[in-house]
Amino acid sequence: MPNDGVVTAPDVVSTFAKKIKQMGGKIFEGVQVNSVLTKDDTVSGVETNLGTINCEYFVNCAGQWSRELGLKSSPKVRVPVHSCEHFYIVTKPIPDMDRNMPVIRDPDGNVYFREWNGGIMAGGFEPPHHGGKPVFHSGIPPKFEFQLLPEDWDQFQILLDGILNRMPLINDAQVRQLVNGPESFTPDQNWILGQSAEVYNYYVAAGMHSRGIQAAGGVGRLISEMIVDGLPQFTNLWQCDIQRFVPHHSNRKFLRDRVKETIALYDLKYANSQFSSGRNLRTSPIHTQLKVYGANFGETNAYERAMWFTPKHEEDVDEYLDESAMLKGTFGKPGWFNAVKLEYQACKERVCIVDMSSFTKIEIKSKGSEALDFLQYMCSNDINHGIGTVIHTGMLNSHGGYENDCSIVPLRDNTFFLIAPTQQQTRCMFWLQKHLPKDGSVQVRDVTSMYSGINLIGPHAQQLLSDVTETSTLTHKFKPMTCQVIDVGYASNIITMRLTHCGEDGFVMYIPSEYALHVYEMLMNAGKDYGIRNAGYLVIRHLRIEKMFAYWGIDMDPYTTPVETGREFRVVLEKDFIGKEALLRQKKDGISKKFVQFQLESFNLDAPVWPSGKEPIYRNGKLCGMTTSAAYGFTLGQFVCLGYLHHLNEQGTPEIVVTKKIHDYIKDPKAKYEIDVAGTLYPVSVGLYTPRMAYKAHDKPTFLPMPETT
Amino acid sequence: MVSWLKSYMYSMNRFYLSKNVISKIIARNSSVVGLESTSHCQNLDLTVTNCRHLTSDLYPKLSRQQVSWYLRYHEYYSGEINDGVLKSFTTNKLASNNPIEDRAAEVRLVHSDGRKNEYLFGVFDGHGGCACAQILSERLFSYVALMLSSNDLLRKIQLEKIDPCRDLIYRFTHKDYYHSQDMEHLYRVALQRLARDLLSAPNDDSTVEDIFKAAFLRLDHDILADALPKEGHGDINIENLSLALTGSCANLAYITGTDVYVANTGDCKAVIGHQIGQDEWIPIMLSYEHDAENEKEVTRICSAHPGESDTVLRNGRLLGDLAPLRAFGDARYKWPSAVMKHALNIFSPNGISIYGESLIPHNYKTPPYLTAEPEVVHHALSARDKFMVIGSDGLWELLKPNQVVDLIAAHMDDRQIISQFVVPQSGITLKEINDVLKVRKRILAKKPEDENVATHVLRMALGPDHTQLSQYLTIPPNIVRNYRDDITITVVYFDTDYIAERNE
Repeated sequence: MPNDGVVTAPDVVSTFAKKIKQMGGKIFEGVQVNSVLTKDDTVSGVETNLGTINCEYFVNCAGQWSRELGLKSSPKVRVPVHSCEHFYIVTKPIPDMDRNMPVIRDPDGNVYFREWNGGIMAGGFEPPHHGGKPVFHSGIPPKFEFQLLPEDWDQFQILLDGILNRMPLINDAQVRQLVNGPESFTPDQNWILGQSAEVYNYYVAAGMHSRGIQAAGGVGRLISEMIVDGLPQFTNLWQCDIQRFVPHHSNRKFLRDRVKETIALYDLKYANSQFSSGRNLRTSPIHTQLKVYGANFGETNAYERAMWFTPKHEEDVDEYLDESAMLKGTFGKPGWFNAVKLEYQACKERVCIVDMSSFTKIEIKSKGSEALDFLQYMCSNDINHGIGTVIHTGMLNSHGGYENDCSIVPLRDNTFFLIAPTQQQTRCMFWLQKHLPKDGSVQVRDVTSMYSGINLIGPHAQQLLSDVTETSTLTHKFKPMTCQVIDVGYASNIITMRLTHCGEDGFVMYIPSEYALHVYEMLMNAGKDYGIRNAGYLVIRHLRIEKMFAYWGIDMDPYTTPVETGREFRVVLEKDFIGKEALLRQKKDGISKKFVQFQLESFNLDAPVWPSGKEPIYRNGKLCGMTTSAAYGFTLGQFVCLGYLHHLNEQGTPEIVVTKKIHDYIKDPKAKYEIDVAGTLYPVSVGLYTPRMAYKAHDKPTFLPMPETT
Repeated sequence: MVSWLKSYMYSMNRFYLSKNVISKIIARNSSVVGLESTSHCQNLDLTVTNCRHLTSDLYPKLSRQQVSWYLRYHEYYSGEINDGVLKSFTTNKLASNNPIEDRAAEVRLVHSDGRKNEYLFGVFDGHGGCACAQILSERLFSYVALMLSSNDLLRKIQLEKIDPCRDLIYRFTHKDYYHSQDMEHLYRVALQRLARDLLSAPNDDSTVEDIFKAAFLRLDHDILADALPKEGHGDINIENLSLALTGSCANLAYITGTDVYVANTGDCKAVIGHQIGQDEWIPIMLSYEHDAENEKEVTRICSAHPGESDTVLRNGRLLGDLAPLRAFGDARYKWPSAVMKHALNIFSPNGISIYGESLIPHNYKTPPYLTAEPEVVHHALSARDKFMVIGSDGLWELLKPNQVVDLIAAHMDDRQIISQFVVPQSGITLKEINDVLKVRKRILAKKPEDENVATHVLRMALGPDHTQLSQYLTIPPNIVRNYRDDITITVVYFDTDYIAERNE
């Protein structure tokens, strides 16, 4: 097998140790860390049993001990890992065993094999229905570092089934040893890398989820680049970033339950799949009500979001009614597709109500103009607008890449309300606090739990809202991209913005949580006559992808800039802000990649595999990028993908060119584009801007005329 | 009348009176207004139903953890003993009376003249209070041990070289075990007297059966005699008197070599779990309940009291009062009425027993009506006898012997699987290992909740449904006795290999 290889952990470790010593590094073994010292929430040293080491940076790469080590600093650093028992067997030598047998993985049996001293070494990861066996829940016993746990054949049996099934040869083999070496596992199967949100310059490289040996080199490089350069050379590793977690992820009981499921590393992960353990922790005040209406939930940052609603039985088509098919995992047409279609149509033609409570909400304020000055420095867009203006803006790093993409509203004098994606809760607070003026003049407060969010989407939203509020919702009185604090029903102080995050007309209301149920019921009752429909988060995704709206964490990340994503209209260069130089440079020198929209003209919805992001893009047969997200565009009547096209020179390497040139390159009529979906190449058309069609109502209008508004 | 009776009974119930007494009250009052005896039971049920209205049966009142805590509170496991035929034993009990009137105790005979591996297992089911059962659990083992001793040993006891209270037995002490230290001196004197009597009338031909009968009768005699004024001393000890007025059944199993002897007085029961096939088990009875359903007993009593057949057994009870037809203590069925009248004259009637003024039973014509003499059953163990269960009648009211045997047998299978699987040294293949593991997995899936088999049987007897268990355990104290009796269960495991070896 070309590129196949095996290493042992001791070999890897001794190689690294040798290299470190060659470069002048010193290694001390058997040293106990008593605490990681901090000053102003920044690493200042490490106190060990042999003395104190002063240092600027600290990397917690203590494996299954990383959670405990994290607690040894002030403030504590949360590293959500939990150990599970983890097994492999080694057989006695088998006659004629090929020493060069490739490593074999069988995801169906959840097992792997390799040759070992003339026999077979085989292990695996227990499937979710069986579950792993968490261990060391109350701490790892002292001096365990070079020890193993006792055999547990009953736990291993499920894997033995897979092993004997895939490799009948070893049915007759004899066992030499069942090795039980515990490993640490994470809540989402991804690694835990990067700078902690709690202590500056405190880095974590842990939660390797049983893939530490093979990853060690890359992870080491990544962490060193983070420390030395600030931003590593790699592409987006947000999925592994330690700041993707919220405090609840470090709850020990949660971890114990969740790792039982996440240990199943070989288990097939369908598009949009969810973990089933450790759920229902963060829920919005209207969660129970939504459940009654048939909501199907998905979890982001431990927050349960309604993804789509099971249609009512009386709603025509038979295929809606098979609920088990709706929930079944697939790479092709999802079971919920027709349900989302109904919601989409309601958004376009009537009015939908979507729970947006999970969004990150932050309040920023100061006595004087310090908060404004601070935000002007953090944001690429101009924040100095009148009270009640909604400002979409990026927060960029020094490379001009997006650290965050958010909406900011000046609510009162020197008080700003910030809305950011759900996943940004930890990261956004970290980024803001890191740059806060040291004099304490600006206060930043996470108010996510204080407010629930309700999104009214659709042509009737304006009339519906006006039925339940005293405030005029007429377009000229309540303009798009403005915000008013209004009463709804009997509830007051509801921060209402005329925007929907998906390009349709409507309102997002941020409601003090205790009023949320009241407002929801008020709108649902008043909405009956408008054919109001509950809708889930998936419909927003479909609407925004069709309109080429980029979302942070999916389409935008710290490695993409406003110039590359075509969002220069949200950049104001007449002020000073982080990343400005990088953007000026890009404006002058150009860029090498550009955010575009693809339409799959000939995609058949019955195809076995649907695009779901991360598909390779080919230009004239040459790989020139990857998609980032995908959805069916109900109005365009076509499948739509978003992604980045790289400008390749004749040698096939990315080349920076001015914006006009890259546009010409992309729109070159002779260029032929294709997207590879699981081995099938689909011809695609490329667009640089939102197709005007996408704003239209559905192409088969069942559209009712808007009621007269006075 | 009925409502008057009900409220009266309800108030009486609050004083934790036993069922025997309640039915007696009804019988007495109903006879005044001329009700037939069948309607008494209906009245009783009616009362019960009314009381149950106070609680809701729909929801459990205890959590699962609370139920388990409650069921396991008295459980005891000996650990692996592996001494002769005895592998280990386990016991548990559940109170209905307050305080519980059941006692379980187990001892190893330590001074049996070179004979080894001898054990006694006792279950004592008291009534009218717990005092008599308590005394049996303290004293009976020493009586048996002493009577099993050689003359040589008896002489040492007489010469006070050996303490007959402490040196003849090793007691497996449960966590709630207690004994009356004040009385130990009296007990010692009684045992020394017994040793002297045995030496003065040596009888080397006595069988085990004879010994048990003699030991039981001697202890009962001593209990009753202690309550009466000694010759030369006019005083009656009131504590001893009220003790003698309580009663207790006793079931004592004696294991020696591969023989089991069960001496039974009253309505406890001992059963052997006998395996006849892979999953087929039958119970072998080692004792017979002495109650009104036992024809031999009825015949015995009726012939001992000619002309009283109408009164000696009424409502299935001795003199319409006592359910077991043999028992320790219960002086009110043994003493002449003159003795009891004397006692009533000296003491406040309510101070000496729960019977108060009505201490002397109705139709009390030709005492004694009751004996502590046991029926002794011998059983030679075979390799198919895997365990023995001794239970008080509270258990056997809820489960039949074959059900108990099946429960324990299934639990044995399941417990065997609990220990970790270890690959045997021999050349076993991976496929063979996997086949064993698959069987283990099937059995592990239905692993019983309780490791202690006595607790397991207790849970199954009352449940196993959680809501039902919770209901059973939370019946108000004033009526709980109408639903379940005190339950005691002792399970003794035998070493099959040892039996097979000895029987070869």
